[in-house]
Amino acid sequence: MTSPHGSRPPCPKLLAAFFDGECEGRDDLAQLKQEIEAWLAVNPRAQQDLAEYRRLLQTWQNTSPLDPDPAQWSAMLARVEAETSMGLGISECKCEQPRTRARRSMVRWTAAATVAAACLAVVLLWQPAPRVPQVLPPAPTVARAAIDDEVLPVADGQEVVIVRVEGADTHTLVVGQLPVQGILELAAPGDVVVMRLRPDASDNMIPHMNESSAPLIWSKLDSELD
Amino acid sequence: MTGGIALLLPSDEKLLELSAQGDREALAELFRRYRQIAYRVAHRLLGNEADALDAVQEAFVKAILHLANFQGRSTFKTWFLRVVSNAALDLGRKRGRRETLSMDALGLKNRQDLEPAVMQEPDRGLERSDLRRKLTEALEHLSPAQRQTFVLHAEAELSYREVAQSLGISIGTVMSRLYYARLKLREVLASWTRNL
Repeated sequence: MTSPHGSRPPCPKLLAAFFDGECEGRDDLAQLKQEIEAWLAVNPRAQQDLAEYRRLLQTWQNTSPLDPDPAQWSAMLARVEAETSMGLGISECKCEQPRTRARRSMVRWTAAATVAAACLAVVLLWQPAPRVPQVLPPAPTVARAAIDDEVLPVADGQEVVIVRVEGADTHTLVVGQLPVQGILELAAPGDVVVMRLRPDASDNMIPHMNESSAPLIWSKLDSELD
Repeated sequence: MTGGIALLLPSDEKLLELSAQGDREALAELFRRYRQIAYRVAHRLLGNEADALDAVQEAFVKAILHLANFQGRSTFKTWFLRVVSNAALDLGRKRGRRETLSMDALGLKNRQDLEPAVMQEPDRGLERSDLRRKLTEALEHLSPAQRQTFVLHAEAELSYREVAQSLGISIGTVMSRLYYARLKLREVLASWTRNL
């Protein structure tokens, strides 16, 4: 593309860019633009190409998809809000209180699983000779690492009430005074020191925590709520 | 007073910052600003409304949740359109595989056989809908990279420089992709463009 009226055509890609208006308003391309315009003026075939291209562009613009119904936008926005708020809540808490948030997720999952398992298990054992106070040993670190990275949005903290824990579950999970409800927390062994246990009012018996490595679920006190 | 009004509008960056903090109003405003262009790009890449809506929704969610990936080297618009077009291409690949199986089972050859031609656009009738189908079919002859580049340029009206920023490629690559995309489209559409 050196001669405005010469036989050598401009580079096809440059010509396409010219067709796309990429030379408009560009001082650095002013010379190139002039040369292409001069070349086009004496090349009817190129003018035909340009006309064809513009017609295709016009057709493209005329067939732009119509907007969806406004109700579809509203529904989509609601879904985007729901998904992003859930996602942001998780990432926000990972920054500030990763362990607490991960525990809550675990609590939700564990609580739901526990309720479901209750139908298949036997009644919680209560024995009269507790070791009080009892300090729970640390939880296995592998399990903790897995919990921290996993999001299990099974149920909200207010959506689960643990009414009964039975059978084998009592060896792996100790639950506070039943029914446990409200915002539930899961403590790994070592996180909580049990200072005092009160006998249950119905039978005056207190739980025997014979599994020193068991984690603990309890409902947060009002003073502990965020 | 136009200038005064414009000053009151929060920038995309501000809206993003607020959206990432859970501000619903900011998210709604951002959504209003970009839903249409996002939808049109996705629709061009996928060829139907339902899939386009899915892709746009996914793109908004991804954009908000992965805001850290937006490093401010380009405008939010160009970055977001990349997210949208990638989501659309991904969805197209997934749906394409499933659809091939289901359409084979129904004995259909084209996805358009499943879609009403006039019902969606009664005001414009068959012609516009039919033209768009032809364009969609023609686009399917392009490679995904060419298709994405062409749609960002033609539908979103991004300049070569903006397309380059959006896709993280050079302007020369944009120029090349558009050139060959156009050649291919012209070849595919040659049989009917003469009758337009």
